[in-house]
Amino acid sequence: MMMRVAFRNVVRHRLRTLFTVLALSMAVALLADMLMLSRGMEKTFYRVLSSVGYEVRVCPRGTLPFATDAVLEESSRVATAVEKDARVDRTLRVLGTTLHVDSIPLFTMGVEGERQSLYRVVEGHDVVSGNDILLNRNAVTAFHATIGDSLQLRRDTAGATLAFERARSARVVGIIEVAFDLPGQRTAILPIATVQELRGEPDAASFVLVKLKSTDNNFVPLDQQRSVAASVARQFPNLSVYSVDELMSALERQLAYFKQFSLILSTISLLVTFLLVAVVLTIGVGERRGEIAALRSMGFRRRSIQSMILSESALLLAMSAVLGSVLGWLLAGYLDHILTQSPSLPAGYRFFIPSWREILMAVALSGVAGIIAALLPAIQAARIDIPKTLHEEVV
Amino acid sequence: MPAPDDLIIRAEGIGKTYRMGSELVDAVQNVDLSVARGEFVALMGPSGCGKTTLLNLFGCIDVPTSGSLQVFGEDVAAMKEKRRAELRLRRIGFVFQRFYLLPMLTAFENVELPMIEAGTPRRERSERSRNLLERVGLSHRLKHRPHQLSGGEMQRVAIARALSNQPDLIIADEPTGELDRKTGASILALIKELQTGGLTVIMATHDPHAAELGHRVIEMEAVRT
Repeated sequence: MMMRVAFRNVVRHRLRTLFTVLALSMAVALLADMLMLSRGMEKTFYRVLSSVGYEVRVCPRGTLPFATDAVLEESSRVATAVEKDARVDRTLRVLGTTLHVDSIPLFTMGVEGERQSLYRVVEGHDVVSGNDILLNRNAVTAFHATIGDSLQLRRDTAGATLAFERARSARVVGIIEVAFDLPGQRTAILPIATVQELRGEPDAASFVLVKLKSTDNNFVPLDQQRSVAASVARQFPNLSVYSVDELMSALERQLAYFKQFSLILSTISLLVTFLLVAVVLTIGVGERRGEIAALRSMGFRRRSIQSMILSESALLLAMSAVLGSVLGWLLAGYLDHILTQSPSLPAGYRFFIPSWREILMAVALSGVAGIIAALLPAIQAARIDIPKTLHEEVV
Repeated sequence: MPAPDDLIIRAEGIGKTYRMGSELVDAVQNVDLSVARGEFVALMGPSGCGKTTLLNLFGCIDVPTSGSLQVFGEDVAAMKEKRRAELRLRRIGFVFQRFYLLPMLTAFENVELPMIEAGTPRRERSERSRNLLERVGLSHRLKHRPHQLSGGEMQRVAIARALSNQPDLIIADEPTGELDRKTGASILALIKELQTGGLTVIMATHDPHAAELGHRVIEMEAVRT
């Protein structure tokens, strides 16, 4: 019955309730989206890193893969040494650089053929000889190239504008999809030796990927990943070595700004929920002091009055949770669409991944904030001075 | 003189002092009064003489700051708030000048409400609510909300509500204060009828005609210090 009374109290001031529920829904939606923002980035990192299929990455000291132009000078020595560990299945050296075709920049990765999972050949075949090149769809469109065409590749000197240092011809043998491509980015794959030659760095690699031996279902336990990474790091103290989770942590540290942003907005949305519920219920209790005092004088226990006020809060929050969840879900999709249009983001990168887990967490957190906010007016109502209030009401 | 067991209220030298800012105000002082079961006592006096304070004390809403007050044989000052609430819920019915019906509930639901608090089974409370509203002449108004009722009808609902937990004592504070003379007379007749049926009634009023319904009229004077 107290729930029925609470419900009637809530719908008594329809317009006030409508505005309150709308405002609370927005706070719930914002909180859900902020939780999705932090989780979305984590999930994306994890998905991209996992899709590559290598558990350990060896990079130049203090760098992340492709974060700088720094290279490992003696990459084959590193790869050979790492492969000696019985837990290691294989290694893959990758060397990135920017080449030009008719003055159009082309991001190029040199890899060791047939030992990679950074890209997928969708037409034609993988690189076999040093003159083979694979292009993604953007590059194919930009160069009007088809399989079998030859391209003249040039690499510019650092700081030079017009002077080209090295050039060579390559034949397009296939079209690829690349895991890390940015929207609109032109990407090519060449054998690593070709890129090393164009860069003039015979044994260089941007990083070495390490694939570990898996027991079943391609699964390598996290502690084994960390153990191999630690062992390589001991062997090469002048390099940075990351297991997948360590790399995720490193990437997350670089994006701490987003997390901080998300944390601040989450806190604000919880504060808004708290204040809204507190204000609305305090006003409601203030308006109904006479009724509450009468109920108390009739013998209603303090607990019953408290539960009536808390039920009102619960009802407001329940209505807001439903609306806020839908709003949060839609808003996440919309914000994600806007943010992923950014040209500097890899394809497949997501900021907001709509998920029930985050929605439920937002609802639960808002619920807790709302119930805590309702405690003060509930206690106030239950502790109302009956004679004084009834007297004031009559006067 | 009624036997002590028959006394519903026994007040000896009770007083109530409030603090208003830095001042202490005596709302009532040194009241001696006994009310026997089935009695109708009318409290009369000018505004501010302490009628409502006395009703609050008799109704266990408040506790005296001096003297001894026993309601249903229990010392009010010694009772915890929980026990006083229990007593108010089950043994005392309140009728207020301003009705205090919950505006979002129907007449039926308003009458039902105290029974829910008392844990009365649904079927029983539904039957009792219907009977009580019939008894106060509102069987045709069960589904009406307070704003759809006249002042007299609202007070009748409030009386039915006061009777819902089958109390022994009815405390009525200016029950006709907001009603016209004719409607007020019908409400007083109803209260008198309840008392004739065996209930004890203590009523505060300004109206000498209303007070005449009581077996005893207690005249109070404003002596605030």
